[in-house]
Amino acid sequence: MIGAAFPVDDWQFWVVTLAALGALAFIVWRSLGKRLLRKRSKGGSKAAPLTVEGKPVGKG
Amino acid sequence: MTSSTPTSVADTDPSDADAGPVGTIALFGNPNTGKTTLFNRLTGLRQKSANYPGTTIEAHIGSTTLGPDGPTRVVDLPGVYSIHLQGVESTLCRQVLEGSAAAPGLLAGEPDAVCVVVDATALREGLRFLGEIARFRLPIVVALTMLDVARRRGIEVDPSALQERLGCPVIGVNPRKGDGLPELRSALTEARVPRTAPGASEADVREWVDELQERSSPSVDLLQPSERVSMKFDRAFTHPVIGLGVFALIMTGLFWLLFRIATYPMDWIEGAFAIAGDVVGGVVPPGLIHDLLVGGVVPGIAGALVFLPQICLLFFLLSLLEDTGYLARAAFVADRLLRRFGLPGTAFIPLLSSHACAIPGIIAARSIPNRRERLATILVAPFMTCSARLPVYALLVSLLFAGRPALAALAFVGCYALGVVAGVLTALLARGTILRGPATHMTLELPSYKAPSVRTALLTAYDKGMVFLRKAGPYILAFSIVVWWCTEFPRTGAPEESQSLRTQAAQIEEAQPDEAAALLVEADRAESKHALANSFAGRMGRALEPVFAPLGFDWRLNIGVVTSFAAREVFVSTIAIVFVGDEEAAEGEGVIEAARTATRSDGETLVFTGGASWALLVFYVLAMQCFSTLVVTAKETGSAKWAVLQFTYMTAVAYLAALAARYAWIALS
Repeated sequence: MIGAAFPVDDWQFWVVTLAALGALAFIVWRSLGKRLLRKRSKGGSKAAPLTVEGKPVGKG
Repeated sequence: MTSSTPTSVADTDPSDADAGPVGTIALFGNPNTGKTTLFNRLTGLRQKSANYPGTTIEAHIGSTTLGPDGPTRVVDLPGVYSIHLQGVESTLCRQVLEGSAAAPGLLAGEPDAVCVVVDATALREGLRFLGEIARFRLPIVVALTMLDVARRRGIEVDPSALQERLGCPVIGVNPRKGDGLPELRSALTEARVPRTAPGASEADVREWVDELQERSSPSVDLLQPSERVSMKFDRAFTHPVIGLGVFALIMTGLFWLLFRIATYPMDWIEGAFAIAGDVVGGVVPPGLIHDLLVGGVVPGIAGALVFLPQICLLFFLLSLLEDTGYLARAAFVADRLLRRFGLPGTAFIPLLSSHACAIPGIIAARSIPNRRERLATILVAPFMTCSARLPVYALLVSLLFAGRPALAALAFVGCYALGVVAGVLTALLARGTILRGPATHMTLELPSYKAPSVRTALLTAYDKGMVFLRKAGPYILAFSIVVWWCTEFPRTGAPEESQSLRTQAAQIEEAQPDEAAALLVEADRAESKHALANSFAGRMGRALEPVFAPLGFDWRLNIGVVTSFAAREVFVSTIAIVFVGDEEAAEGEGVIEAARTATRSDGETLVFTGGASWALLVFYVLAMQCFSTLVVTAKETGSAKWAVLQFTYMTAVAYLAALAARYAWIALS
């Protein structure tokens, strides 16, 4: 049944499935992962907003 | 000899406050005074100058060497008209002067010196701003810019007279050419607290400014002949009625040009990718990889690139318009309209851009200084009819108004109007509830009229195009691949209908080869339909039946709604696969005819009834059917919650409006 629904014996099936999983992972990583990574890192961009008493100005 | 050492806040170590640059100079000025260009000259940092008031939202920091004491830190603050306005930028400027604001990694404290950039062509505004800063009793140096432009207009400003009266250095500079920079560097080491500052009352400020202007620029005549003509244009362009008419005329022309010209490169791109699809299909042997490339990857890349001409052209035309000086007048006119709905005039550009694509529109919202107004603009931008909706409108309007082109055109315009109305009403709602706050009064200086720079416009178009490709392109491609997989698996056996057709074809193959071939095509289509119905996407369509049944949607329409979440235009190709079984039919009239005659499972009721078609049209006008836009919303707002809110709200509004449209149609018919 599974073989008919998902041609697991066909190596091309695994290639396209990996491509789809990679695409999905890319969407998730670009949407969420980068933000998480940025929070952990200490630098990166050239411009930074000023802060007032440790809080970013512009959130008010 | 002095030298420049660029640094940035991000790579400034906290310990740098002790070991690094000595002293801080804060750069203040009205927008469009050349402040940012001066900052670049002083520090060597490259940064885009603010062409539009309020562009410099973030503060930038660099260092420059003024003398033997080592490097001095320079902070570039946002250009503002007054430090006493309610906007974030004005607040920030005020707090820096009070010593309560500091860049990350730096200790808060008053700047050691303040450099106030004053535009000689707008001396009164500059002096008024200088007076506000002079009240803080900090050492000041005045950098007087645009002296050459002022001279050409017959305005003579004497820096030495100004310096004598103020008691602090006043230096004439030309930031673009670098003239006066050595003198300014030297003066910054000798900044002095002005010996005079205005009182707090408006009358005191006016008196102070009048006196300074009298001493430094006694022969000023603001109404030079060229400016008299300019003022006449201004009166017309900002007139409540004439201004609105001119505005409507120019915008209609811009859109006409946009749709007229962009069609050609869009057709070329589509044609090129159709050929690319054929080439890939011919080179790669049949199989799943072939199907992925032809059905997922090539259309995915095409889907990202096909809107590039519209985006580049829109920004090219807007840049030309901005360069002429008209856009500032248009923002003034738009401000009158938008302010009633809680949006500032500066929201006009993002909302206009959203008619090509919501993504550059949302990115353009960065120019809105007030955060709440910026968020409101971002939330409503996807209501504007983007070009991706057009194929869907074309299909549904063709179904609803077959053979009645005038009504079809009216329906098209109605779709645009519905999007705009929904957008401004939503803005009104948001500004009255979750984004409640005082409206920022838009203050802008109307720039002089001038010939636009094609080079600048080309660079802007290129820049915006690259932003779109970098931000949205990879998502569209990735989503296309995922959607392709979901429409391809799980696979099911051939349906009885196709088996029967193939048997018939085999029986008549020798006697009637043409009819046999036609039967095989029929069998292929039946298999495509069956495969799609049983795929993950198809199953999702069936699962959503209870949700969309009140709107009159058949489960096959639900598949279109689900798959078009990647990009709205995918709806048409999905409908082609579902009802025709052949995606190529989407290019011709086949899909419209097949959709018009398609029946539901009872074999009698049409799938596209009047009610369902109206509901679907209204749904696509209002629904947030674009994953890429949601991602950009999350990025630009800095939080996924705004993207979630945008999706939930727009989907709810679209659903209810579609429901109302269906029942209104039923009641009327």
